[in-house]
Amino acid sequence: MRPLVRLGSTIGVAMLLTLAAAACTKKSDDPDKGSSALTPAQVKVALVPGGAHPYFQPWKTAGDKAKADFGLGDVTYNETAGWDQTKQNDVLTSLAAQGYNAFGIFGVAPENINATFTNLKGKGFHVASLASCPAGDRNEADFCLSTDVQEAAYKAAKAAIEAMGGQGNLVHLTGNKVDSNTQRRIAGVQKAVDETGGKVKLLDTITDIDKDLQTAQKAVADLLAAKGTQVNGIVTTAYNPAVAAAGGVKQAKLPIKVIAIDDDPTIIDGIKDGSVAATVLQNPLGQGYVGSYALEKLAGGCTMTTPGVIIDSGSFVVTTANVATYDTDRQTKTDSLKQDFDTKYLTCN
Amino acid sequence: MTDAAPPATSAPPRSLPLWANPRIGLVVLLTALVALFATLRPGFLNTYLTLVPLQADISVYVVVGLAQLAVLSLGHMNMAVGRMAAFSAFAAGLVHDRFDVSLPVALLAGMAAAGLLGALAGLIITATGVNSFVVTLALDFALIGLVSLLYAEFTPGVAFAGQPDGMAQMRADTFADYCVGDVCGPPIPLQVPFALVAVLLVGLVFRWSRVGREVLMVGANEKAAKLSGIPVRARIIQAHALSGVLAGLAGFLLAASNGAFSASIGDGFLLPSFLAPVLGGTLLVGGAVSVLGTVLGTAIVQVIYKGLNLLQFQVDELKLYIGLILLLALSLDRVRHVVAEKRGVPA
Amino acid sequence: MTAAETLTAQPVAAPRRGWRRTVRGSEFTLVTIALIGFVALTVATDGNMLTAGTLAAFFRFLAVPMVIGLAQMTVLAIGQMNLSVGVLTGFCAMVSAWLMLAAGWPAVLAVPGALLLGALVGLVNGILVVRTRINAFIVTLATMTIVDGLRYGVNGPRTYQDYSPGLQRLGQASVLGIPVVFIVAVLVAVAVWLFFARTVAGRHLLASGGSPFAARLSGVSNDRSILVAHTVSGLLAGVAAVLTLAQSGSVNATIGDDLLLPSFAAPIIGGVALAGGVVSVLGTSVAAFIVRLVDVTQAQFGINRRWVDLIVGAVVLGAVLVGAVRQRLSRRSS
Repeated sequence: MRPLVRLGSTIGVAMLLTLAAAACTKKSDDPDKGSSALTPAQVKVALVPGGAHPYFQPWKTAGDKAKADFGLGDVTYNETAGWDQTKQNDVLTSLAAQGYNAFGIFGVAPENINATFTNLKGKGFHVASLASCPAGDRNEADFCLSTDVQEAAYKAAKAAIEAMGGQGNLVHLTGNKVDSNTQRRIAGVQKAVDETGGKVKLLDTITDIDKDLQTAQKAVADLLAAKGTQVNGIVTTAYNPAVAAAGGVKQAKLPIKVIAIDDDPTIIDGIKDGSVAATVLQNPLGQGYVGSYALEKLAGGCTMTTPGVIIDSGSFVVTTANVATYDTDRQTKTDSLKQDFDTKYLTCN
Repeated sequence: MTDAAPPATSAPPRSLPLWANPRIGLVVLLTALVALFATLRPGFLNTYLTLVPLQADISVYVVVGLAQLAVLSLGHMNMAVGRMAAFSAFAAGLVHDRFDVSLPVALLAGMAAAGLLGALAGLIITATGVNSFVVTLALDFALIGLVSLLYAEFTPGVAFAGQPDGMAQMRADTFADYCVGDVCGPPIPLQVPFALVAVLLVGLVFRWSRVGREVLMVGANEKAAKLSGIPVRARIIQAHALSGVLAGLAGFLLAASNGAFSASIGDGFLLPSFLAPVLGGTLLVGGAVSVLGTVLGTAIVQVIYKGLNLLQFQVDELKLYIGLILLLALSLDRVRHVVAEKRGVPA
Repeated sequence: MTAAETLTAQPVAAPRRGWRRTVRGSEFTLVTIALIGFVALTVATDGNMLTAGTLAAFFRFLAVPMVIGLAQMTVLAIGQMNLSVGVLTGFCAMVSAWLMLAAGWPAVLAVPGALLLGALVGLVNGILVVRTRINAFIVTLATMTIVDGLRYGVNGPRTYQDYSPGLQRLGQASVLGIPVVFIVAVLVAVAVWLFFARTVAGRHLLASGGSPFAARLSGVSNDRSILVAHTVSGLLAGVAAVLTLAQSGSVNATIGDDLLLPSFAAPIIGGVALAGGVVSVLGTSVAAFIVRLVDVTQAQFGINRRWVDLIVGAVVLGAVLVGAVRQRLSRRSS
């Protein structure tokens, strides 16, 4: 056994060395970095969220619509990254190997997504940062089209304060504390609370409960048990806490005003039955649709007037009053975004 | 560098039929998978979009697998392998952030920090006699909290802003970017040599060094090892320290591929760390390890993952097929083992 | 291992005294710690712990971790592990909700459906372990990946709610201030205790776990023990799924993600040996209680969530250290 193994190892090492030597490249055969103008039919867009999440579901429809409207080669949606930056990078290169040449990405880790953007752009692809911008003040993607999360959280807190009648105690439930977006949300809620001049007090900010639903439900139940009678309003800026807060308050039969986020059917049902006072919508459909449009233009030879520009895709407060009609507002915003790209953000010859 | 069984228990040399050699089976499986995916998706053979990232991933996860293998040799487990990697990345980031040290120093600091954690785990295990699974699981729990508290304390968020010079090159460059005259290197990412060195060193340790063989002996039979005068406690601590050092290296390599020293490093290490050695024929009971098998096992797992990605499966199908293929691969190895046993060949 | 020794001597006759004696000490300590912790928290919160709402919330979210700890304990009894308990709980909950909402089944049918599904997946785990002879850790790692995919496949990332008003009312109901879901969990714990203490299958299981070789010599089928242990573990995951459905009122594909590591923490703190052959239903349940105490303390005082993991890690480590010290002392004294 030993001699055979030793022989095998020797052969293996020898083969590796030969392979390495044979694979040596000439200076001229650099990887193809061609970024010549493409026709719309040559543009294949991949929309890649950080993982499976209800928020991104409209990207599918948006992609299909963009494909039909702009005559794109293909638009695909791939949510297999599973909230792991390494896996997301894998998914992106795999899609590139499949011929996709323009990417709309929600980065898993805002703190190192710029590295991913640089990699892709280095290979001659066009990249949009959708629904979230990189942390820090640099954006290596061609542009970032996302909700201004601080503004959205501010609107949500304003809605909560209004529903509470302008005074009382507010609690903020949100996601990963050390995510830069969460920090911006906390700042937005704080701003709205400060503006009341002490009439509204921010009782607690509970973070890190967006990982799974049961954790959020447990946190809401514990909160209501500990301070339920003091709380007048709950503003949520992440999905699982929103679902949990709506359900928990309904079950506890407390007169607490809940402000949710997004328009998952669960939340919209809550608005209709009154367990949710209001919800703050973002514009995922617009992000996917206009993002695909801009990527196609970039691939077609246009350039960004300001590379790395950050664009707000809009946020809207929905209450029982406008629950039937909110989609029109969102459509208007999407149309105006597309127009802005044509007139402001893109430079085309 | 392959099967390193302790000399005391190794069977008399007997020529092994080719089909019964587990490594050959893995090579066949790997070749078949590559051929399958390359036929289904020609993009699988794209150098810069598939093969280079694939090599970088294999490099990282080979080291992760070796980190687990280092304690599997004892019949122990290291449930904290991912968090040790996270701690190493934190330590490397911290020394760079505070003292502006160069890449090798940061790397060494990271590996040393994780190695100390490993040694600590080993120390607790030997001092209390508590199962390694329990100790490292508790350590993992504690480190989950500690690492994010540390990041919150020392950085603005979850990552260090800066990286030592050279990390960006490790991420983006291959040897093809370095030329002597007109001839450049092969398109192999810069992480590969790190992994190769780790593979060679671990292979040598378990095959040739006294310490390595004694560790295997402890894994095979602790009582017998003690009776034959082996310092059992020291060996257990050393194996766990080695596991920590390797986890630290893996954390550093991943930080290089991902572009930052961040708190999420190592989150996905735990399961692959077991898969690669087990697919490669290392048993969980200890006493024998297969370093080459671990390399092949890692390659198989990553090829499966890459191939399924290229086939653009959705989340549910992707997970379903990964699990099924793994079960299949493991069962095939079992079948080979059983057949070999029936014919009286040690496999 | 006392249990194994007793068992070799008397294959099926009363092996309980042996392991009871081993474990009694640690169970007593755990109960004391739990009580002191509870009283301390009550004092520190000026009695808020004793208000009806707080107590109800405390026990309502104790039910699932307790049952999941028992699910893991059942497999630990034969010296194996089950990594799929968490995702299996989520999968059963999702399928059951789907049965009620999409297929229109009444809860009386959907609940046994969830239990059956859990037991079935557990049985498959067992069969794979027996047939392939691959380590259960690895087998359940693979099935965990598969079940994870299936769990997501039921409804994608969307949330199910309003599936059964009756079931949800039951989840919110209390008897004498104690939530029904917790009472169910206690009944399940008693059933598991009876299973290990009074039934032949349960004792065979402990025998196989304590010493497979001795068990085989005394006529116990180790393969059957493996099948039974994994099936019961799956069944308990199904129970946890039903409890989740009842108490939470909404479920999605993230259910179960928070359960895997706690499922190990509870039995380990509770004094269950990983080598097999020793179980402690009371220890596991009280350990889950202690972990929940840490949780509630965090909520009552608004402590940074990340300290919870750190503290749970320290508690696990502390528990095993105390256990090791005690064992050494008792060895010295005997």
